[in-house]
Amino acid sequence: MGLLVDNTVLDAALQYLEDNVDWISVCEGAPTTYEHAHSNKGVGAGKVLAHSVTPTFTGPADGDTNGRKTTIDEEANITVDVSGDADHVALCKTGDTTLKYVTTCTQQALTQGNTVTIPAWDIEIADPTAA
Amino acid sequence: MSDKKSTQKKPFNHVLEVQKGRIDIREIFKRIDERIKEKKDGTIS
Repeated sequence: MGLLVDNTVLDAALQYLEDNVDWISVCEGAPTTYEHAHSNKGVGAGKVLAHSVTPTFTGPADGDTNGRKTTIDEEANITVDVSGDADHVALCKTGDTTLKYVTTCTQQALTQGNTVTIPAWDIEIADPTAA
Repeated sequence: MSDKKSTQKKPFNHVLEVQKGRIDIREIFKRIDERIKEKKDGTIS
């Protein structure tokens, strides 16, 4: 039996991210709470080294493999607020203080006062496959 | 006019390599099922 999902189903989830995310942060260590992804390293449980309040998206559009995707556009030259080893990128909604999405990045040492660029990256929801 | 070059250093720009996220739609439906079971009235909050 074939499995099928309409694009509108996947787009609803991706559009939710596009409509609600207003914070992107570069973190040292895996953020699992809003505080981790929103407070600077050294402040409470914060893990943030750099952040931007102007993340933008492109999509939803067809996924690279299948399904649908949204692209988080490049965030160029964000000021590094705290030195540390960047290894995660987080997306948050500040309005209701929720952590919405976390991904990893190749670990890189960031230095306070420098800048960091987060290249464009995708979140893709794949078409269903048999379990 | 002095032709001395400025000694102010331009901040280095680190460029990250971010991993693309790929979501299994079965996980989404699993979570919707869990939310429906939690409410027990067939609606999703």
